[in-house]
Amino acid sequence: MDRWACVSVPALPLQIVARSKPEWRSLPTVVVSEDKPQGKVQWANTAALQSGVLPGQSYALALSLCNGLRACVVPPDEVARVTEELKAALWCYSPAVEVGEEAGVFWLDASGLGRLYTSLVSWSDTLRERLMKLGFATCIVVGFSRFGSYALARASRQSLVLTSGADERTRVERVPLARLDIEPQFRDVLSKLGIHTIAALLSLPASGLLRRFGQTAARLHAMAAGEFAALKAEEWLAPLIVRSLLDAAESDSTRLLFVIKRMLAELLSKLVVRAEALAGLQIRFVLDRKQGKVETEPLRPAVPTLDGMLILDLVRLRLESWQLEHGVIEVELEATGVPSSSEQLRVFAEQPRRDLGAADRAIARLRAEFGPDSVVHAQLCDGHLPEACFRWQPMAALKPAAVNGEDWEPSAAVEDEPEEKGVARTLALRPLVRRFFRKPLQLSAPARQLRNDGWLIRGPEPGPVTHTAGPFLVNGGWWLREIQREYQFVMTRREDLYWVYQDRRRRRWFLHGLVQ
Amino acid sequence: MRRCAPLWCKSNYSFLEGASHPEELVEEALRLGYSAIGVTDRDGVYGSVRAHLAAQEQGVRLIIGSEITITDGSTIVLLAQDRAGYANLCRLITRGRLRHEKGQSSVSYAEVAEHAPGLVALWGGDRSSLVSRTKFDAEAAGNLRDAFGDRLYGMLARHKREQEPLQEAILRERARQLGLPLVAASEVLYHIAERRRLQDVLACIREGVVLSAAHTLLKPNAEHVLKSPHALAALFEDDIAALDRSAEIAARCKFSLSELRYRYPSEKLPDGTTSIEWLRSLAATGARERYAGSLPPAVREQLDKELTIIEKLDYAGYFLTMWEIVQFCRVQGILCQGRGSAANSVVCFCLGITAIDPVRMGLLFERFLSMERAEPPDIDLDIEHERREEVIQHVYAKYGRTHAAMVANVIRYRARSAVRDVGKALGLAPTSLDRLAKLLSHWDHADSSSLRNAGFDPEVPVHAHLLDLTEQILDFPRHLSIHPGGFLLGHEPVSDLVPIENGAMENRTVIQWDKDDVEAIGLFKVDLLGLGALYQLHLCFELLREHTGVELSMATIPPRDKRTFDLICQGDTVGVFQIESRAQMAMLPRLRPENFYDLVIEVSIVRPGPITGGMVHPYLRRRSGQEEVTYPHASLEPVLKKTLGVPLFQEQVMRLAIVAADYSPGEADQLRRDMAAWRRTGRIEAHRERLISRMQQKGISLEFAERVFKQILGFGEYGFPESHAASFALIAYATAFLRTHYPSEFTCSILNAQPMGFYAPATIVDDAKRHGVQILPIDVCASSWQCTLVRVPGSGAFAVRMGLRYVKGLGELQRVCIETAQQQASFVSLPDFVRRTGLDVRSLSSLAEVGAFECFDLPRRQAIWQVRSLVQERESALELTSLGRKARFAGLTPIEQVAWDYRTSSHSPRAHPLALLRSELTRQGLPDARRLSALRDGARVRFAGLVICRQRPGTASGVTFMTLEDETGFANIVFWQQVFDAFAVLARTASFLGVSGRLQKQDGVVHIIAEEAWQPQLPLPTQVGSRDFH
Repeated sequence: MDRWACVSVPALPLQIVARSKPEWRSLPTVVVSEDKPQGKVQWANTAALQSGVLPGQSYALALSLCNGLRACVVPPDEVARVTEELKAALWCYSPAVEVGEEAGVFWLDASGLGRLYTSLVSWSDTLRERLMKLGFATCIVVGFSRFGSYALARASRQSLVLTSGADERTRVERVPLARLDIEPQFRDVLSKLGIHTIAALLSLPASGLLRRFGQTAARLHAMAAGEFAALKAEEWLAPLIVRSLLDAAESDSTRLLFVIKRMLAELLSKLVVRAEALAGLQIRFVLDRKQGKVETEPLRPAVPTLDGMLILDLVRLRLESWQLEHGVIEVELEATGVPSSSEQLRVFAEQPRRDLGAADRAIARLRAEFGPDSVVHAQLCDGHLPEACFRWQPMAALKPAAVNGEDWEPSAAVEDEPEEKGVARTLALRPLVRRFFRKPLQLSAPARQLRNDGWLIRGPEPGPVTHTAGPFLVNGGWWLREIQREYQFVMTRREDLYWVYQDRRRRRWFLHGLVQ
Repeated sequence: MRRCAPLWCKSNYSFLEGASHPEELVEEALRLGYSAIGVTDRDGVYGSVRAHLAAQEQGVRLIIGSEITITDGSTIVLLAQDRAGYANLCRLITRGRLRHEKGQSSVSYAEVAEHAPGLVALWGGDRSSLVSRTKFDAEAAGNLRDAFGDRLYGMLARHKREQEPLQEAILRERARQLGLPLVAASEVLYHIAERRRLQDVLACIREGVVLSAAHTLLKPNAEHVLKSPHALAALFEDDIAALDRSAEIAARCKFSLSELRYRYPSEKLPDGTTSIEWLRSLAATGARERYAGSLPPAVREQLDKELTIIEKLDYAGYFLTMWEIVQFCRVQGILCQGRGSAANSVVCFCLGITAIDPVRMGLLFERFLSMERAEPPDIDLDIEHERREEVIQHVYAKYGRTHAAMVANVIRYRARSAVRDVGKALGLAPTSLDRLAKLLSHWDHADSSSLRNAGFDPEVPVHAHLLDLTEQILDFPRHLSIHPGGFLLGHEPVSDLVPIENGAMENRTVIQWDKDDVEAIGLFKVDLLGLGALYQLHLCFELLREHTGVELSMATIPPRDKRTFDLICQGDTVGVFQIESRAQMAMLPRLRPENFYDLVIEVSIVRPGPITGGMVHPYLRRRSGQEEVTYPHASLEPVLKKTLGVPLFQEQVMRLAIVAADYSPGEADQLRRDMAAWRRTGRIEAHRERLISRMQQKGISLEFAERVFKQILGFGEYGFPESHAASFALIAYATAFLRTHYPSEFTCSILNAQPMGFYAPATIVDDAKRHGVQILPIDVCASSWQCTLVRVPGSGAFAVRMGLRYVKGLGELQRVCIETAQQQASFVSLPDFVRRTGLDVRSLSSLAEVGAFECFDLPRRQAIWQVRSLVQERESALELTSLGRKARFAGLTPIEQVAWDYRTSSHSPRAHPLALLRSELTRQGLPDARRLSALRDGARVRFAGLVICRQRPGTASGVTFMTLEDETGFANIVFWQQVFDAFAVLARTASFLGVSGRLQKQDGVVHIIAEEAWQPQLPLPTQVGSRDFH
């Protein structure tokens, strides 16, 4: 590799903000570590800097300096996502791309690309324009070494294509250390020592630097002195997609299944080559007569697998629930793989009495047939309103029931105390179960002047209400939508127990549940 | 109406739980027709005094009690039946509190039983073990029943929760088994249902959650309101006897806080003499010393008068305590001095508690103590701040932790904290809340316009809630802290009067009442306050004794030193106590103090009281003879003569009210108290009509009467009593004298007493240099931890060697390391220093940067490079010798040297940053500060200097004052609001600032009225910290 190119995207988090909020571009804007007054300003744009805002200040201080300051947090995930996006774009222009540890820095192998694009300048300009279209301003330096191209890319405002190694060395020596991503404490000490440029850094003895500042400093010195470091290009992994064009439009799901079976075998063999197992499968159909594309929810086996039949079974369940009105002319499968693990150890593991794996497979089948939200379990919550006391959570796998000793403590405690048995006995009424409706049923209000037939909760059969217990009040939520409920247990002549409430705000009665 | 009483009410002194003030609970109880109410705050009696005062005023009987937390987390409510029961309650709470960190408390059932006499116990509620399946302890229950007998009740609490019927069934069954009578008493957390929202918010603040995530941390409904007797009767219609029993219990609990009999601790008296005899003897001895044997008749008369009043009110013990503390300070060599109204007392003067002769000064004794008021006197003792803890621990040791505890300070919600906490509970963005909070001042409150300014929309419901709830929460107690120096001492254990708990500070125990509560109950408070200036004086006297042999003390400083007053008149007072601020410096050349009393006026005139009352200019005009001294009424001449017909002191306002508006001395004192609290209470308005109309009836002009009233309002902000000003003036004069005659000693002492005063060390150092004091840089071979005096060779003068304490990054640990090594032997080289001190790289680098190793002939950069290597060698097992080439570094330029000094030690002994830039500044036509005063009034001028102070006083209608400093002195800049706003960023942030404007000269005081601010185009000097907007 004889030519290196370094692509620098300065102040990447700030550029991410500018791209997502273009209306902020002309306004003073900062990226803060957290959206709190104590949050630190990490990046500030020119307008903010002109208002006296500086990186390192607290958000509160920055706000006091600049009234109209815009701020947002750019989480590391977002930076990582954009880095991936940039990397994908760079791969279109070079066969080898290395992502630097410093956010917004990439190295590319530019060897021979000048011939492809008439010159390296042309290649560099094309690349810069492509990145500009993506919404990022960049500086690209094509040089002769990793450090040289990097240092100049960080220090320059304009892209450069260097013509000789000597030219690179001359320019690099003038680069201020402040422009490089050096550990701040080390940079501060160098600054105190009057070492502000690469040339000044090189004037220091390497052994002295190593002794005083450790390996990182010595490495910087060595790199600046011209030590060679190979490009650590990331391997290009094409997405695992297989497509199949059908001779004639197909709307029979069984025949489609056979098409998919063939494609699946190809997909699985590719996964095997990558030492991966299938964790998800996306099916897309191109419909006949320009009716567009349809795609399934991703199918997920209970555990990542290379078992084609098992996956095909899930595909079958999914296809059975589909109605394909128009014929399919193209099928596309996209696999999501995860590194496959060895299953050898399972031989020695104790087999549980109940086969949870079988249960998980059954759940996977249900989810395949009825959708990912079709299997749920109840999770208890902390709330005053009955409907806020639990929530349904989608479930992908079965967990063994946890027996919590504390759950049983109350009854145990009662048994331990002989004198308490009297109380327990007295209170040991027949076990009652309260079931409540997903949506309370509206009731007619009890008449002020009850006729002989009284308040009929559920028609004449159970009879009118004969007893009530309550009211028990639940009200709150005033900060959002106020709720005022007066709950009562009511008993009908047939001794049916109902659980009703009056919504005081709406002045209506509702049946919320039954007691059995 | 059914006879019953709410017995389980928690006020907002159950911090972050109760949502009503104690007064509100009492008032609402009266409105609902109750004749008695029980206030039972959680593990304390914090709100009992306020509730007691309100109950007395409203004619409702207050039952004092507390909800006590048991070690298993359950609760029991205890009510004081009589004085013994109240003492037991306080002792029990004290025991529970002292075993825990601040904010927590718990006692065992055995301890509850142990303290049962005189208490009624109500056992119930959803947190009670009586309704719990798991926590109920039958043995403990039996013990409780045996201890309380018929005073233990099962408490039925109904709040219309679904779980309650089951809990009540358990409670009834257990009560039946234990033979307990049942009483109906639901938990009350607020006096009206509208406060339920605030109670929800308080719960969120307490638990640190937002409302939407609070779930069951909130109460399920609004049933914790103070219900009417009718509503309670309906709620307990199935067991009306239980409700009736609440009235029986109320009748059993007869204790009132009025029964508290406080006895001040008696001193151990010699030969069986009484306290008053001992006090008389001490006062007589002190008087002989003070007046050198010849007691003036006026003093004798005043002494007799005061001692008679003290004897009648039985306050001798209090004076003896203060005398004993002062004696302790004397013996230990701790400087102390009484301040405040105590300086009005000749007894205090003779006992050595205060240093002002009140008879000679003509001070009003009634401001301190009067038969009519019969309130405990208030003696504040200033103690040098570094040694105050010694005195505090002496008081604890002398009286014991049981008989002495510090007074609490209740931290209450103010506008800013209210906005922050309520907004957080509502789930609003902290940054927006921060912005709103910063728009509000301390006493302000949020309104629609401030909400809009901060980017909120008052029409949005959640923002409307913010507005409403912050208004409601204002003045709510949030938590307890410690009063700066207030002690409560008692002959009997203090924990019999009020519970004691641990403070956040180590070795501090605190009572549950604040100073207002203590005062309202008539208890004596001893105030031991810290004062930096006294510490500085102490240090200065020691330096004088050690280095020059001059023995000086506060008492022996020559009183009328002309040179001292000359410098004061010039406003040359950097570092002088009380008269060093920008505003005081600007006033001094106009007021031109010539004697001690002028200083007393100077200290008190630059205050919001006289300024907002419009008294300053009339006084100055009269003093300079530009205006005739007249009195609004002949009867007022004796009152106002000292201040040329213009009232400047609190005492004068009191006397004015007595003479001109026929107030009694007691009423005048009430006026003074209302002055201090008018913003909060609005009580002062009640005096307005009375004062003005009566003054007019006496022939005093309406204009003067209005002005006096306006000044009274100003005093509410901050006004000095004359006696207080006199005590401060004494310290001001002492510091001014030392600064004038012993500048080196003065500078050294003030640098060692930091942090204190108005100016940063850099300003003090530069001011000292301008006054000819040589400042020597920090040097590891010559510097001690503190700054020291070094004799200048060939002269009798002393230079100040800066101490190692001024190196940023060095602390107590480093001090010990260096001092230990210094004591062994002097340092001979950098390797020797690094090896023997064992300091880390960071500390050594700081010393290198400040130039402290230049004594080893090592420039700073070379030293920074070397220390890192030497530390590596020290920590490495092998002795490594570098064979590589040597590093060479550029030397520092003079500007860099000064910049490094500031960065590493916040000052430069070498030069002022601007001295090095003066030629360039001069080339640009910028004068220095000294030349400014030579320019004519009205001249257009450009000036550049380092900003050392920014101020925007509340009394200045948006005007910002700035002090700029250069190597020759200070320049005062005035920014009108429009100009400041136009250059806001620069004016707020720049440390080196240029201003253009017009020069204003008046009475020798020079200001630049700024028209423009700019950034000087020069190599920027170092960042210098300024004192901004304090």
